[in-house]
Amino acid sequence: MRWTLEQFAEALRLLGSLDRQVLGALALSLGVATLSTVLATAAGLPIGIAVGLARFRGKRLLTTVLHTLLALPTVLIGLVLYTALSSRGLLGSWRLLYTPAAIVLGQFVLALPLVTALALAAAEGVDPRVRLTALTLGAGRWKVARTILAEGRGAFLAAVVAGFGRVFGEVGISMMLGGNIRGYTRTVTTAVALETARGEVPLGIALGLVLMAVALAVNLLFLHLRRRAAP
Amino acid sequence: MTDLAVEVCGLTKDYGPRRVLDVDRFAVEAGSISAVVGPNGSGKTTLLGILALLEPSSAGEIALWGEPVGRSRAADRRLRRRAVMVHERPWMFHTTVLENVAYGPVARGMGRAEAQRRAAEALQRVGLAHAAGWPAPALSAGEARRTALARALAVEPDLVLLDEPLADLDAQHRAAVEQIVRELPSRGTTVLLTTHRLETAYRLADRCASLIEGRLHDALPDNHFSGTVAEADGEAVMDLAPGCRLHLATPLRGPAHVVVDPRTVILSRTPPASSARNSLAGRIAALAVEGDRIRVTVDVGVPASPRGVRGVPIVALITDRSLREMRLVLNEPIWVVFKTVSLDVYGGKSP
Amino acid sequence: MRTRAIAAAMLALSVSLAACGLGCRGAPEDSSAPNGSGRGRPIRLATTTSTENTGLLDLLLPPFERWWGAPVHVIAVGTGRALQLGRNGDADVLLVHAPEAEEAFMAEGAGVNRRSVMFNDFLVVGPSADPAAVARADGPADALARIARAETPFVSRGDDSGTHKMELSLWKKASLEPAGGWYLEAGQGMGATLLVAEEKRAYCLTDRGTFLAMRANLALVPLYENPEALANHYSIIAVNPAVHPDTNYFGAMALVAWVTSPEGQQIIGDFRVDGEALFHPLAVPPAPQSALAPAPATAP
Repeated sequence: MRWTLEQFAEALRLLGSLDRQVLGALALSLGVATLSTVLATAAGLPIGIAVGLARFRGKRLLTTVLHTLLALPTVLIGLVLYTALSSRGLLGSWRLLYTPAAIVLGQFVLALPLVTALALAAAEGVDPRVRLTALTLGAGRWKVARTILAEGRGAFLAAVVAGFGRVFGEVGISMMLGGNIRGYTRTVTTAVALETARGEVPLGIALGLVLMAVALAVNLLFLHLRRRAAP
Repeated sequence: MTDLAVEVCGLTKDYGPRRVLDVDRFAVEAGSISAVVGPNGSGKTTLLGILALLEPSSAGEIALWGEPVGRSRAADRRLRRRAVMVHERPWMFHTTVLENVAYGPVARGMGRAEAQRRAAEALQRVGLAHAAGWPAPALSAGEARRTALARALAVEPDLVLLDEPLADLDAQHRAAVEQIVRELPSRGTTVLLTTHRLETAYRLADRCASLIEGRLHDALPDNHFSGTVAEADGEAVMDLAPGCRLHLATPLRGPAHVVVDPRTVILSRTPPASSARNSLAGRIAALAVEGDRIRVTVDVGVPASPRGVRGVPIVALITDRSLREMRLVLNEPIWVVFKTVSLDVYGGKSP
Repeated sequence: MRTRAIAAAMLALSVSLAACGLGCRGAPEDSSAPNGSGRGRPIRLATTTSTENTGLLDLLLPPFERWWGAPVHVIAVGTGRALQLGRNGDADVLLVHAPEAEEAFMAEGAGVNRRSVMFNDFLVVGPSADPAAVARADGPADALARIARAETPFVSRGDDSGTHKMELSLWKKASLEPAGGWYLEAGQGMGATLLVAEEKRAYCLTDRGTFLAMRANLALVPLYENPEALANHYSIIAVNPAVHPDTNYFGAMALVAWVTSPEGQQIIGDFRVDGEALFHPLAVPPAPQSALAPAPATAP
């Protein structure tokens, strides 16, 4: 017990001195998470809404497959993408491996099913009268979708937040596709993994606390956005 | 032959094993106001939804302005845009009242400024100009209903489908809405409305039909009344007006509709002593020839004198011979008599 | 509301792009010649966790990066995986310590210019109580055999790394196949494995470098040392450009040159933790006197 407390105390002391490397890792974590979430939202929201509103045979099956994808372990995604991005792999010529772009790609794959599944549920959860009212007033397909998005904005925003949360704290993809290269692809999470492996527990905790502080800040921002959105 | 805005043939709608709509023939003339009367749950909303091309029918043919529905998605889209349906419990978008009303014009490609101008105009007509900046979801039921009507007005469609347009409105606003509805044909809009109140249909519509349990009857059944079945002395009764109490033979209670077949109504100059428990005093309001029958409309529940005050109209169908033999005359006091068992009751709940 | 949403999205996008830019220096240029600008093409060095965990690279690489003008991207994985990266062309140069596997690698033609860099030794560490009496072993194989006989906990790397291969060769020598509840395979890097051993108060075969670097955090003590028999050799190999033409061959060769140069070797030799040297430079053999281990120097 005492040892645990000591570690935390040391962590807080370390936090006081803002290390340049830590800031860099933080910026990277934030950057890749944001970019991959933006991309996953851009792809996932429209798909989720389209499938959620549609009625077709096999919709249940598709939804089940989507939910299953949510259980994809990050290391598995990392592994599969590694084989694709490797020099010898399918996309080897893109030379993406061990770059931040590879992490963004992996995190995009991670967040996409989540954002899509939640957007689907959100679209289904919107009152059916919204669609009918929009249609009868003359809205075309796109306007109906935009209206659904606007009417259910709370739930859709939650989908984006969930996607961000999922990727911000992950380590499997960052490690396998980024390589944890110091000053280049070392994110806060991979740094924590490294310091832990080295037995540098206080530093690992300190980094973890920084991560959670930033996550809190981001979520407060989302909360603020939600408040403004919902009348 | 006038143009038909709506023409329906053999329309059915099933939800699983339940058939909720079974309309053999139905037509609405362009530029007219038509009403479909029926109790809640009779399928009125479903009918409107299908005619608005918001939901598909299970079978049957529909033609709007002569164009058959279901030919192609593009054609259907075009047809759908010529009509606007106003729901019974309209959804208010999470924005201002003005934006709600401007939604239709904007969706149809109008510029924002022009759309808002139209919207303001429509709001003015329904008496909600002062509410333009309010958040729409916060409106009361009546205000929401008027806003929904304004949404339709702003679009100026060829066909307006109104589901219970007067419900939730107080007397003042009801009059305003009725006025708007009456004016619509002069602006080129055909109106089809549904209601559960006969009086509404009478006041507004040129043509009426009744929808009961999914089946459409081309004319309103005479003697179709809505009210509340209450209990008095252990018996089921419905008070349609002071002095007009119907005695019913039913275990159901609560809001309901009753129908009396005019052919079972007996006219008598004196209150009869008979087993019939319904003997109502009134005065003859109209006499009309209908084929080889005479249609006698009696205003029940009105004391003998002031003209212009209308009671509950009860219709009796008698033969020409009976009319001559009884020498019935307009405005004459008369009794209408019918048995409780000749009343059909729809709706209501078992206690 | 719409303009707000768009503004927010753009802000998010620009923040993320900027952050990526901040976090990721070393955007590769095509030039791989030294130009001192610091923006030359990065060199991907695949190495073992033991090397990275010690902190040696933090001292050895920055002077090189300044001189060569390009960053070195260090990817720390086990030796087996590092060699695999080399075979795949996902790294430009390898710094590993598994002589047999390296020779196979070279025989395949996957690498060129293998040079000895440094050596240290492995030790068997364990709880100070030493329940298996490892301290009295008369050979490294015997040390492990005692552990097996006493069935005291032993944590193995279990990850096909250089250390793991050494451990396996010792079991083979002792004609034993370790199995049972006492034999734990961590499947992780040296540092993590030592932490597991620490937690379980188990024995462990570790390289001296990592052990010394982590000693402050460990209660384990060295129990059996035998620098001759347990020599641990590190070599650096450049990936064969004939096999993978788009690797950074010149950068790789420059790094090999640095690491085996007198300056580089000096840095290696001067690297100490608590006054103890973790690695002994090997590339520039001293005057032929008493080299502790043979130097398989290949002619460049």
